[in-house]
Amino acid sequence: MKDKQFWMITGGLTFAFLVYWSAGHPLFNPNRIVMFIAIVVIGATLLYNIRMAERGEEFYLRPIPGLKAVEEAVGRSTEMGKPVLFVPGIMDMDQVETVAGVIVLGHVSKMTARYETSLNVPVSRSIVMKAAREACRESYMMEGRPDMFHEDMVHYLTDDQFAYAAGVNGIMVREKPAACLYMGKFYAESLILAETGNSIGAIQIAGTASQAQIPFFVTACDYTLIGEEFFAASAYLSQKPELIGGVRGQDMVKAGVIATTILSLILFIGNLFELSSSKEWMDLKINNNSKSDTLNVKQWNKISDLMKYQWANNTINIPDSSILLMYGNLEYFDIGINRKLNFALETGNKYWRQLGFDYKEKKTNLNYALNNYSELNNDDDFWHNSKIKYGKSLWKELEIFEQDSLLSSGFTGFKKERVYYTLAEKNFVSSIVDSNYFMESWGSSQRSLPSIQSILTVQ
Amino acid sequence: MRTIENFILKFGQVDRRWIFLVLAIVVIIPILNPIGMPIRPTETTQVVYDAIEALPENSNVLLSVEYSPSTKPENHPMTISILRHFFRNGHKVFVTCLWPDGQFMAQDALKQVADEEFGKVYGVDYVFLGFRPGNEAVVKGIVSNIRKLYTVDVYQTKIDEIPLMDGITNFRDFAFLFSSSAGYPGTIEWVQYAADPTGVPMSSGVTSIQVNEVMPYVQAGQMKGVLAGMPGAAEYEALIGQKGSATSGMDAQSVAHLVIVLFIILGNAAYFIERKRFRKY
Amino acid sequence: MIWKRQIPILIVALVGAITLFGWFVEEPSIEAFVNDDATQWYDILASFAIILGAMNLIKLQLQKIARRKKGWPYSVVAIFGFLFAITAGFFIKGVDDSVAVWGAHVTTEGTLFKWMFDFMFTPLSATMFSLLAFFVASASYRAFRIRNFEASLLLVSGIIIMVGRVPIGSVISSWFIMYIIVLALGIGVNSWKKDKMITFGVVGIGLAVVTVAGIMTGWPLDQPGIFYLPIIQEWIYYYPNVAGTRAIMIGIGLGIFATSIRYILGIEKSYIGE
Repeated sequence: MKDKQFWMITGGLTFAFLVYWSAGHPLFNPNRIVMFIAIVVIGATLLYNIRMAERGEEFYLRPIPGLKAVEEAVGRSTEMGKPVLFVPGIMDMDQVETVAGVIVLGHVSKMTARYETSLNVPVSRSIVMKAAREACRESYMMEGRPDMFHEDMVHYLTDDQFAYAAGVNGIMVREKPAACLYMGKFYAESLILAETGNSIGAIQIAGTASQAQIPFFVTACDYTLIGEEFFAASAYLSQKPELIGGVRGQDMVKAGVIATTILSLILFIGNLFELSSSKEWMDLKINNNSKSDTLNVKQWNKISDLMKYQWANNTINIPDSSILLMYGNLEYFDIGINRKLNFALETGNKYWRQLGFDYKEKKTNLNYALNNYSELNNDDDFWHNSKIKYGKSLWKELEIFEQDSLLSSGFTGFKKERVYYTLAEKNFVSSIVDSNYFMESWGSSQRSLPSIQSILTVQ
Repeated sequence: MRTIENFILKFGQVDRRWIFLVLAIVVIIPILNPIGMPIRPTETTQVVYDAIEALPENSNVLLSVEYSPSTKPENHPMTISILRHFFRNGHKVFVTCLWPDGQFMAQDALKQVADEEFGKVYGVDYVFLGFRPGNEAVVKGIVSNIRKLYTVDVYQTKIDEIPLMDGITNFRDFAFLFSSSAGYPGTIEWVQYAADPTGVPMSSGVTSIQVNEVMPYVQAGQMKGVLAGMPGAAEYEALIGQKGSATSGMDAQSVAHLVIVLFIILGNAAYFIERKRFRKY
Repeated sequence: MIWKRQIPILIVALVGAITLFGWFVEEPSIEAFVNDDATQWYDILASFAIILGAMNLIKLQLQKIARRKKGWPYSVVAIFGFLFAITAGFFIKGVDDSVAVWGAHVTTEGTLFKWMFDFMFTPLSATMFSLLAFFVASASYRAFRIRNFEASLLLVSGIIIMVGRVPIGSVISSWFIMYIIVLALGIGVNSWKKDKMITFGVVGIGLAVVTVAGIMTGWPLDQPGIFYLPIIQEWIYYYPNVAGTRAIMIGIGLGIFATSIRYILGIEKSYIGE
């Protein structure tokens, strides 16, 4: 609350956004509003802390041994008369880790300029070479030692990952640097570099945000900057207030994330997600009804709420693997007719995972089928046609001669729409399920309205 | 007892090159004389298998190959097994590559499986689109308009002249994606820019090192299982009932792991003995 | 001066802001820029920038040869490799146009480039990657020491994952693991109590309990599941491992966001050397 200017501007921008939003938010993608708010809140938190730091507020940063050790490492190299090897990762400047690595290189080159130690920076990308050279040149100029800088201290090896690792290993084994710094984005070559550095007796400090490589660096290096510590390195090394303020802002955001996680856990334990699932259903119903303007309205109104829900979720088209596992273990003929129907209805809905199985059964129309389609219980023909219609994984359950007869009758494409055309023309499918099937494939087919109308009149 | 302690202490200070030599020997022997250990599929591998089994016949599936020869022992058996599974179930396979080296790997896999094993017809049963530079821009391009990104396939044939490409305009025209990946760009980019926003189901096969990074996506349901390294590839070979190089490699990997554990135990024993003597004297 | 300071900062701020906020805009040209053009511009720049890197490489290697520095024969090999790859890629195909056109020749069997890839690049890459196996062995041998509680936890979970992940883990009975736990318990009790009677008592009772339980249940290989290595390693993978990974991912994500915001706002200027 101390920074009045910040709060005034924030308030003004918030008001302007609210006016823009209530005016219909032209050009804004409303599906991404949550992300937008998150970005704005996080950015504002960072900015607030940066401004606080610039105004002289002191922030405590815990000591990070790896960063303290950087100067010791350079000092060690100076005493031993050996070079410092700096590896800024194997990726290009489009990766934030590489840029962070080049920032740290700027600080390290200041130290090497001050202590008159030679610096070797083999790089894997040409743009990184140029950026790293600029960083080193500027550092040497600022230390008043432009004579010590030469362009070849930053040199290109190769783009290929393992060829680069081989090249750096060769440099290590030949020149035997006393300090090896690995700061950037690494992949599998990290352990190769670190072990070779260990074998030559160099002090090794690594910093990376590549999660998979952190364990290797922790094992093989003397000091490792893990994740955020690496991004905070520039703040630590420069001690610039604006950078330190940014680190504090990050920590505040992280505290918010932790609080949200704990709150979500409490809500989950309290079974409060059942209610949110129900709300989700209601929202989907509302959404689907509003989308009916683009569909055949009459046909849409014939479909039950449950089928609309099924259709809406089938456009997402993610089969629930746990449901598949559940049914997959049963022999086909062991499953009752209702379950066979429900199996086809159940797939394609990613929200099922949130529901308990009892609730799923209710939603998947187990009782609904019994109550509303009593003829399904004993109607073999209908079930046969349902197998064809709900095709998908049940197609394989058809006898070979049944598949052959369908193939020979001109059905060659195996695309859902063509199956439907052929079966509808030959009256294989009954009117009750036509619309369901078609609506199910509607989302992925994106057919035009006139062609839908023509199909729907087949019945 | 003292003799044993001295031997263990000596072992604790052994030059690492002896460790390398022992490891090399224990890896070579099972490769030359396979043991044939049973492979037990894990849940994540089973989920991948089930997801592909559940696809309707003749589905259009996208296979993305992004690994280089360095990770070929881990990723290539996965790619081969997945291709076998796709072709066996009668799916139409479209192959892309986010890595330039992936194009060579995909070429080898298609030659072995599509041409030699299944006798599939190019352009009717599968299409090899090849590599395009751009990292995640390629993924985004496939999501928005694949025909703008790929005007020709890897053999420089126009896309419009390939029968299988009829009706394929973007990522949503595929029923499934499998990414055989060894790093960046790869699985994570496919999840972030393609599978999750569009809802098309995807699975992936990754190197053992990468499993940590992708497991949160598997747990969140954004990916349908994952083939974790060479063990995952061997498990998948067991599931499809056709053994390959991953299965034969598992014997060597098992023995190598045991040897490493043995070294660790002996190293710790040496450490304790040294500490005890240090305290004593 | 303005070219080296203000203009680059302005370009970074403008392009960064458009790319960040463009994701929220439903306007085709901006969407096209954010989704396709921005990353493609970068790739085009990087592709041309490779020439700079290649020239630098050649210059350094030639200097080494000219000055007969230590290891100069390797520089000859490096330059030969560079020229050979360029020749195979751009000048000598090795087959007719009827077999492969330029462009398709990189993957077509029988071309010089494919030969180079199969018989030079592939074995070299595979060899470098296989070094990891040896380095993992030597690194774990050196680093996995029971120095404190965290190191012990690392060691135990590492061994469980290493053995449980491979087929040999599934043939190790859970009863074997239970016996090992009883023995480890004995070591722990001995360190604590330093009394042989108590130690033998604990170990004896533990072994007896496990043996009786095994006889009664018929020594099933994978039961009880809590001691079966593949199940334990799956649990470690799915729960503690993913929890830790997620936490680090969140931290890294925040770090990337904060760093990127600093660039867009012009607070961080080290990339231009400031």
